[in-house]
Amino acid sequence: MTWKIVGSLVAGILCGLVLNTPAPEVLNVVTDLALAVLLFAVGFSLGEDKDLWQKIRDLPKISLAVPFLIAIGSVCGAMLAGLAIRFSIGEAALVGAGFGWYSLSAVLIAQSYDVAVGALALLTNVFRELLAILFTPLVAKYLGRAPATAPGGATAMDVTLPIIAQSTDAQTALVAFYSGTVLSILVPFVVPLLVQLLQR
Amino acid sequence: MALLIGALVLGFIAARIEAISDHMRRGVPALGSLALFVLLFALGISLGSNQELISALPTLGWRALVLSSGAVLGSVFLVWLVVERGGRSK
Repeated sequence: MTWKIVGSLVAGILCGLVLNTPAPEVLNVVTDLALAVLLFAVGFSLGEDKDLWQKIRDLPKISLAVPFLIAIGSVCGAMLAGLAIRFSIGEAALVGAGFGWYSLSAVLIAQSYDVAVGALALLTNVFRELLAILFTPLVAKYLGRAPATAPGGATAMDVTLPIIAQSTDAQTALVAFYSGTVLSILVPFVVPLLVQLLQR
Repeated sequence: MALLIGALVLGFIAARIEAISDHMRRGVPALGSLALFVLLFALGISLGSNQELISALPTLGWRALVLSSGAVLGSVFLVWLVVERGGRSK
């Protein structure tokens, strides 16, 4: 499964590099359609689970805190990484606060802070999504179900959701969707907040 | 966003419809996998053809890789520490 996932992505990247004639409208329609089918399939597997409500009730209450733990962990982790490579800690925090949503974080940072840091945010958050696609199954296997919702960050509500769903179970997929949604809502608040702090 | 939640809810309702045969039920995960491959292929195309991204790669690539690894490790660690370890000690 992982190889098919990586294969699809690599094939797409190669096509994009070679063709160099993107049709954003067509790509957007295809992406939206594929996402809708994906979410339908995830919803379907949730619906087939007859004990789902009981399982949700059995989830630890701490599950509600998952997106906030991911947010704090992402920003602190990026800051530590920034420290390790002698990069600006503040800018590392800013880039880490994209939570994997590369399009939005890159635009927000480029417009309100700095174009070069925006480009870095784009690349960093693209890499985050790629790392999540690659490592989510491993995190689920060795560290448990809840941590498997973390690498995807904000993308746990769309692109990485099926990967999390396949590596864990129905109730963790719901936690992932909830977490990805909260993180997506947080990005447009946290990024401008950090920009304000940096510009002081 | 509305599209995603709508599709999720629709899938959930569809699964609860008794009239849907087992044959059709088995087809849904396969359809989901197919959609995932299409999605990743499309994602790849938009990344590969993104000039800004590709031109930033040689200069910013390693830095982006370090920062993204830090963000991933930090978030995985915190969730593991609080939810997995914290939950177990109770």
